[in-house]
Amino acid sequence: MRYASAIFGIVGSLFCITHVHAQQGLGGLQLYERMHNLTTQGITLANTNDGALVKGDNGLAEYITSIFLQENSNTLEKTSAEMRPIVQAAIEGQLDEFCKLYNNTFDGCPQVYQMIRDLALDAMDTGELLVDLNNIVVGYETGVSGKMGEIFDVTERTLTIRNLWRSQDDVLLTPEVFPLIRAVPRPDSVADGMFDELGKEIKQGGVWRYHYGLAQFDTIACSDFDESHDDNTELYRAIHMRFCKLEDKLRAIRDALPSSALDFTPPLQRGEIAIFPLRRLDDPPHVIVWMMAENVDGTVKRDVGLGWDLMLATGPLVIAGYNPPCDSEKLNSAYCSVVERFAVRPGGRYEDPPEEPSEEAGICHLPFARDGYMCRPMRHDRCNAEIDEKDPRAIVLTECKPTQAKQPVALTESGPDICRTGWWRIPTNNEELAKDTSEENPDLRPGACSNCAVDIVCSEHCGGIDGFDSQTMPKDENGVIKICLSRRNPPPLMASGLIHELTHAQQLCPLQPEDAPTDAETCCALEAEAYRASCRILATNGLLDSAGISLEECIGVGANMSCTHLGEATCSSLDTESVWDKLMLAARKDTSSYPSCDELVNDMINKEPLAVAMKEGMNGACSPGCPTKYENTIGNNLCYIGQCVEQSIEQSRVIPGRMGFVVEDEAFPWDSCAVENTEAGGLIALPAISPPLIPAYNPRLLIESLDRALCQINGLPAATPPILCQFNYERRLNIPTESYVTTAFSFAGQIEENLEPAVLLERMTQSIATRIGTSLLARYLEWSAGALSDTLRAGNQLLGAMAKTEFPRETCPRNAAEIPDFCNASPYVPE
Amino acid sequence: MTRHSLFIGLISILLVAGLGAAVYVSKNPERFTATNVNLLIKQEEQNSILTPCSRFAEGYAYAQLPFRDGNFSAWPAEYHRIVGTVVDEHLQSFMRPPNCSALTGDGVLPGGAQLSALAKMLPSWKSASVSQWEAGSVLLEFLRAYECALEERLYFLHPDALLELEMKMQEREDDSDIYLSLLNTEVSEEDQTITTELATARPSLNRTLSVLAGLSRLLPLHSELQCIERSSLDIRNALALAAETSACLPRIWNAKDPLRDLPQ
Repeated sequence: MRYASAIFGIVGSLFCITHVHAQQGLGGLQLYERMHNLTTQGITLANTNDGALVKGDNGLAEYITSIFLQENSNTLEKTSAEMRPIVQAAIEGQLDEFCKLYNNTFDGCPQVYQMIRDLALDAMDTGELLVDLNNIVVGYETGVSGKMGEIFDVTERTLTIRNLWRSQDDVLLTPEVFPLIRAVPRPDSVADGMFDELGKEIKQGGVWRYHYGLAQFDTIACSDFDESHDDNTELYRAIHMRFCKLEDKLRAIRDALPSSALDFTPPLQRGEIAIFPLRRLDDPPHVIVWMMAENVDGTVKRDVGLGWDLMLATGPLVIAGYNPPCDSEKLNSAYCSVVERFAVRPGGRYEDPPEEPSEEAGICHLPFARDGYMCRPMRHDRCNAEIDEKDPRAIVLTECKPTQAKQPVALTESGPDICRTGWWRIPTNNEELAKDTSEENPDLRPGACSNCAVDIVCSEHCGGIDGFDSQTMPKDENGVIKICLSRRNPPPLMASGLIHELTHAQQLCPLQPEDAPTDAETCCALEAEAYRASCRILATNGLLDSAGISLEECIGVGANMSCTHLGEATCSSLDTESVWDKLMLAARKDTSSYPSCDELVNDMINKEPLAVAMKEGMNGACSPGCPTKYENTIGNNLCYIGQCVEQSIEQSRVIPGRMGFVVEDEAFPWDSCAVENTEAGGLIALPAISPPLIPAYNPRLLIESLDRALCQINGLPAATPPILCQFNYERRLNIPTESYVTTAFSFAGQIEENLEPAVLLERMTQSIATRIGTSLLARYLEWSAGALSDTLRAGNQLLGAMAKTEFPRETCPRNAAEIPDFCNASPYVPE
Repeated sequence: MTRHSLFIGLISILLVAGLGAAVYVSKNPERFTATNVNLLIKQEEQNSILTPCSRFAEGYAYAQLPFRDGNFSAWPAEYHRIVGTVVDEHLQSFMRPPNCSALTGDGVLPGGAQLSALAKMLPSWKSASVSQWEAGSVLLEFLRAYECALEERLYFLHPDALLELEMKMQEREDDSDIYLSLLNTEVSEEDQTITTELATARPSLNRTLSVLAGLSRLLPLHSELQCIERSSLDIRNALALAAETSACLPRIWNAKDPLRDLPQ
C-alpha cells in the first residue's frame, strides 16, 4: 500500500496523455451531463459500501489486479488470470461472488474485499482529481491557448481585425516582428464531401494524434506502424499509432489546397501564413479540421490537422501493463524500481521523455501560438513607456530601451511620401515587370506612369560594404536607375540587399538626374529608411533572431556602415562593429535555401514579390490611365487616398485660377466668401507606435504578502519562517491545562484548531491570485488595447466630421459678372 | 412501538397544524393581499438577493420554480435538465452575434431563451433583464434554490412524503388506506434522493463552472472584438468608397483650371 500513491502519481502523470483518447467516444455527451456523471460516480458511489464502483470493464480491474497480486504475492497462490474476475467482483460490489471465487474458507474475506475496493477508490479519486485539474486548465486556456478550432479564440479574432486594418507597409513602422498571417477562403477544390469522408475515418485517438497536423508524419511511412505490436498500450498508441486511412483523407484535403505562392492574391510572401476557415465536422461531434499554408523559403508548405472545440476530460482511466522491461539507463531509476517491484507498467512501455519543443515545434508550430512570447523572443528598442517595476525580484518578460539614433530616421523631398515603399500594392503588369533580367538592359526606359525605370544587374563586385555589396546609381538622363547586386553576397542577404537598393531607387526616382545627397543628416535618413525595409526582410526570415540582434540595432548599425565615409558611428551610437559581425556570422552560418542573385532577379515575382511591389510602387497611384491594385483593407485604402492627395498637391493645381499680383489677391472675385475650413481632424492626437508590454510578474513578493497574511490571520507579527505563525507544537506543552487528560486532548486538537485559518487562507489565496491575475491582464490590455481604441476614436471623429461637412451645391463661377447666390449671405461681399 | 407512536403523534400534530393553517388562510384571504404583504413583496424586489429561498416564503418568490409538492420524484431530473440546457446554450452563445448598438454592457449579449426563462423564475432577475454574462450567477442561484428546496423537504419529510403519497394514489385513482410501511418506503426513497442530490448537485455545477468560468471571462471580450470587427468592416467599406472618389482628385482640380475652359 505504501507504494500505491507513488504508482497513482505516475499513472496520474500519464493520465493527461491518455484521457483524450476516449473523448471521441463520449463526444455526444453535453458538458453538464458529463460533469454530473463524473460527480455521481465519484461521490455517491464512493460513499457507498454496496454497489458497483464502475460498470463494465474500463481497465480498473486490470490495474488493481496487478497491484494486489504484487502486494500479496507471498500469501496468495493465484495467477493474474484467476485474480482478474475476483477483483472485478469486488469492484462490482458482489461480496458473495467475491468470497466464492477468492476462497470459500478464508475467514478474512470481507476485509480483503474491502481492501480491494479501497484500492479501486483511491485510483478513482486520483483519476477524478486529474480530470478536475484538466478541466480547470481547459477552462482557463480555451480561447487564449492559440490552438486552432477551439470554441472561441481571441487571437483568431484579433487577427481578423488586424487584417482588416493593416496595410502591408505597416510593418515598416512596427518595431515588433509578427509573422505575416492572413485568412483566406476555402478553395473550391476542397469539397464538403471530403470532410464527411474524413469524419468516417476518425477512430479513437485519431484527433489527438493529428492535432498538431499531418506534416510531422511526412518523413515516416504510415505502413511502418505495427498494429500487432505486443506493447500496444495506450501510451504506445498515443506516441506511435498511425491511422493510415485517416491520413489518406487528410492528405487528400491537403493536396487540394493551393500549392503555389501565386495561387494566392496577393501572392504569398516568404514567411507568410495563410489560414483557411475551420471546418466543424457533423460526425464525430466537437471535432474540427484546420488547414493552413506557409511560404517557407519560396516553397508553399501546406498542412491539415484535427482538433476539438472544447478539450474535456472524460473520466478516470487507468493504464495497465505486464512484464515490464525497464531500461534504467534511459529512464529514471526511481521509476524503474517501482515498475519492477510491482510488475506494473503504467502506460505500458515508457517512452523516452519528450524533448523540449523547439521554437518551431509543438505548440510553436501553430500559427497563432508561435506568436506568443514563449515561442518568440521579444526584443524592441523603441517604446514610450518604461516598465514601472524596478524591483530586481520581478520577472520581466519584455524589455524597453531608448532609441540610439543620432540623426533623423527619414527625410523626404516634399510631403510625407505616404506608403512610398509600395509593399501594399499588387503588381498589375507582370509581363512588363518580367522584362528586366540580371544582365544590363540598355534599352530600358520609364513607362508612362513613372518618372524612372530600374535596371537591376548582378555583378561580381559593386563597390559596397563587404557582405552587403550593392549599389544604387543616380538616375541617368534617360530616367533609368541602375542597381548593382553582388553575386558574392551571402545568399541570406541577397533579397534584403535588393529591397534595400530598391528603397534607394524610390528615393531617387522623383529627383532630378545626378542629384545625390552628401551631408550626414540626409545620408543617415536615407540609409535608415532603406535599412528599415531590408532589415525587416532579415527579421521575417529569422536571421536577426539567430544573430541575436534586434530590428533597431540592424537599422542603426547598417546606417552607420553605409555612412562610414562621413565618420564613425554617424547615425547611431550602437557598437557598429560587433553587431555587424554578429549579423554577417549568422548569415554565413544559415544553410537554408535562398535564391542566388540571378535567380532572384530573373524570377522576382516568385522569389521576392515585395520587390516587384516596390517597382510597381514607383508608378503614381493616382496618375490617369495607370491602374492600381491592392487588397481592400483600411490601411491600404488610406495609403491610396494619401498618395492621391499628395499627388494632387504636388503635381496639380490645387487652387484653380489666375495668379494674383500680390499674395493677398484673390484668384477670383468670390473666393473670400468661401465657407470656412471645417478643420476636421485638426485636434486629433494619434497614438504612439509602441509595442505592448507584458507587466512584470513578481511571485516572490506575492508569496511574502501571503506569508504576512498567514501571520495576520493568527493575530501574530510576521515571523520567519512564516509557518511559525501557523503551528507551534510546543504551545500546549508549555502552557498545560489543569489536568493531563485535558492537556492531552488539547494537544491532539491543535491541528483542528489550525485547520480553520488554513482553510480560510487557502480560499483567500485563490481570491488574491485571481485578483492579481486580473490586474495583470487589465494592465496589459490597457496598454495594448489603448492604441487601438485611440485610433478608433480618432477615426470616428474624422468620419463624423466628414459626415457633418456641408458642401456647396454650386461651383464658384470663374468669369461671372453677377454675385453668386451663396455669396449674398456673406458679410464680405465686395462693393 | 413507542417510537412508532411518537412518530404517528408527531405527524398528527403537524397535520393538524397544517390543516389549521390552511383553514385559517382559506377563511382570511385578505390577510395575504393586504398592504403589509405588498410591502414585503416590494422590499423583496428591491433587495431580492437577500431573500430567503424557502418555497413557502411570503410572496412565493420561488413559487415558479419546478419544485412543487406532488412531483418530488421529478425534481432531480428537472433540475439537471434545466442546468444542462442553460450550460449548452451558454456554450453556444459564442456563436451568437452580439447586439453592438446596445446602450449598456448587459445589452450587448442578452440572455438566451433558456437562461432568460430560468432567470425569470428567480427573484433576483424577476423584474430585470439578464445578460448571458450572468449565466454563472443565475445557475448558482438556481442551485441555491434547489438546495433550499431539498433541505426544506428534508425538514418536513414525513408530512411532505405523506402528501406526495396521497397525490400519487389520487393519480392512480387508488383510494386504499395509506399504511405506515408505504409511508416509510416513500420517506426512505426521498431521503436517499435528497442525500444524493445534496452531495452531487453543487460539485457537478462547480465542475461545470470551472470549465465555463474561463470562457465566461472571455465572453465580454469576445463580444467586444466581434463589434470592433463589424465596425472595422464598415470603416473599410467607407474608406474604399473614399478611395474611389479620391482617384479623381487631380483631374477634378485640373479641369477647374481656367486654362482649360470648356468649350461654350
